[in-house]
Amino acid sequence: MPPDNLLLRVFVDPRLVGGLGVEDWESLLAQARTANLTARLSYRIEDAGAFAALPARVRTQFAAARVAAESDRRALEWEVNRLHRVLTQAGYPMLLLKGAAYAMAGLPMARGRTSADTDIMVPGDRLDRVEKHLLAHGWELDELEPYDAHYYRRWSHELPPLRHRDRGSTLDVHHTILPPRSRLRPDPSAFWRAAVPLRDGSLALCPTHMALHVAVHLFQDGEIAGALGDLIDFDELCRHLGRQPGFWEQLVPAAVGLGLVRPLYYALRYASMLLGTPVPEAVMADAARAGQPPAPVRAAMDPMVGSALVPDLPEFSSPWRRVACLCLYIRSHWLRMPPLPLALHLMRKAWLRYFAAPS
Amino acid sequence: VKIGDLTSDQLHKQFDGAGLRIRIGPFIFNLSTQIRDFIAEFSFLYADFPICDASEISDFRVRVASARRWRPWHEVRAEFWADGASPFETFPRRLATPFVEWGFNWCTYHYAHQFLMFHSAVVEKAGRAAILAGPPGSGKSTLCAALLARGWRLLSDEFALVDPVHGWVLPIPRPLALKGVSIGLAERFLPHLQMGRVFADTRKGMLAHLRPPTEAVERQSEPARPGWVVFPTHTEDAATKLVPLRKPVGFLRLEENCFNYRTLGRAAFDALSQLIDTAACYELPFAQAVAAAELVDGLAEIPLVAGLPLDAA
Repeated sequence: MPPDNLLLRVFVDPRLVGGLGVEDWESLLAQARTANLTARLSYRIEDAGAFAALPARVRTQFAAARVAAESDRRALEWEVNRLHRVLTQAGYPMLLLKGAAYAMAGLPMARGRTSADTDIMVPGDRLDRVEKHLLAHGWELDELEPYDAHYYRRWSHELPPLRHRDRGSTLDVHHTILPPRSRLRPDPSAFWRAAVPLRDGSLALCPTHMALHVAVHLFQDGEIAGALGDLIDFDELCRHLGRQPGFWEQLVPAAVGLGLVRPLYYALRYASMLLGTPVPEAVMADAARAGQPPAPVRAAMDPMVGSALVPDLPEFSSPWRRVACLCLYIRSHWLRMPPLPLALHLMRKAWLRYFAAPS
Repeated sequence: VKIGDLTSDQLHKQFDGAGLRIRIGPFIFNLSTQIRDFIAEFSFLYADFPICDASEISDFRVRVASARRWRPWHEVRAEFWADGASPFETFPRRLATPFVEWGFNWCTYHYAHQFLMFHSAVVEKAGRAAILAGPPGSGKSTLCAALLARGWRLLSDEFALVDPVHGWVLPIPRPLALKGVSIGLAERFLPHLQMGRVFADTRKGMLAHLRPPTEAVERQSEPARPGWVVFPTHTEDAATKLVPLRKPVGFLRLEENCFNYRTLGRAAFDALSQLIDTAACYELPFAQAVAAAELVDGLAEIPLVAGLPLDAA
């Protein structure tokens, strides 16, 4: 049973905004801001033909959010341009991920999407050289606690965030899509083999891998809490790419081949349940057959995911929600690290949190 | 209905329930809180501001609440929420008023990209706005108070909100934030205006808020044309004088004081160009705010020459 949440309902059926009262509007706008989805919401409403009837003050807020999102996109495209100059021209292959790929591929979902950083993938065997090369060309490593730096190097699938000295932009350099010691370890060479060229000469994941990456990011690597934007990415990718021939047919087999069918199952299940993503029945059935978790896990995940995904407004805070978020947080680490290091890591985090807690 | 028209019981009931929707310049803030001292301080400073009727959708949903206390022997703290975001750590509850003022600033520069926003005080005379731009500590609030004493209308103490399409400067006449010695100066310049509580130990030192003039609040929906851009810098030993700036210099100096120049991109360049075309730019080093205000006042005495872009607009 999907949670009764106004933002979700409007994403499923944007024409609902025609009947909203003042307090509904305020709740909707507050949730959209919390989840960084105001501009995307505005495009959904516009695409449904419901924009002209909006109250003037709402239109103004949407316009302001679009200005900010367009600015993010401009910055992202410029960042990709600069990375080409530094990496591609020096002969390092570069695969764009997430927002950078959506923008450079010109996908409709890039409209209104905000992003704080640029994500790229480079081949694992060149990672050290790419890092040195970037450090020699204006990027810097943020000061990290020694423990955090160690954590990144040992347990993560990306370098610690790099910041550009002049532009202040953040760059995440991945060498695969999941931590190297996590439960699932897809072979990154498959991504490079299937990668598709973009108009600017960089590479992006092929459509099925692009959708799988979002699913993995959300349900295998992430904490799920507050990540409604990622589920909307998955929904919009499926809606758009699903019109291309072969996308739906290849999705489950590709996930099976890479060992990513569990996160794909979750993404398909919750996107169709919460956002009404039109997933063909046969695809859902295949994904369930190959990747469905045991019934008790399903029974636990459904309410936890629904409750944790909705935006983190103070009025939605409840003991149940906090428990759900904590369980999903532990789950995300459980999937990422072996049990003993995980226990030590979480104890350390809890210790720091207790002593850094405000009085 | 104005905030000052409500009794303290009515205020508590409204702030505690769905929140009070207050029209502040072009924005509507929906503020809810249960903190009694804060309600008293806020409703004093904002007494003249109108309450919106229930059919208006707010721009910002702001909540100030006591924070949970982990160590009961510590001072009570509070937190500020705007639409699910909390821009600061918790703060001592007795400082709620300055933190809400900073929080309102945060809401504005974080979200209101329908405007080109400058860090600036703005005053108006005869329909033309003087934009007093500068970083904190440049003396813009003191100069602003001295100009109010000479009959200028307060448009804003913190933001120049410029409509990038039509070039108007929009008022947002919130209380003046005065620091240190400027508190006493403002009291001397404006004996008829009331000062809120003095906070001795904020992160910006001693701080007090001056209640905005009633007329400025009543006229908060009347925008102005940009007339002058002035960059005040206060130093004890400065020779007070107005130094005309070339337009390109004025452009670059004002851009430095812009909150969202990059965010607006091309629209920001066009709007700032138009503004600088219209307005004369000056640097104003000063030691005494009264003498500096006299010089700015003198600018408004110069009649407009027909044919300037101002008239064309």
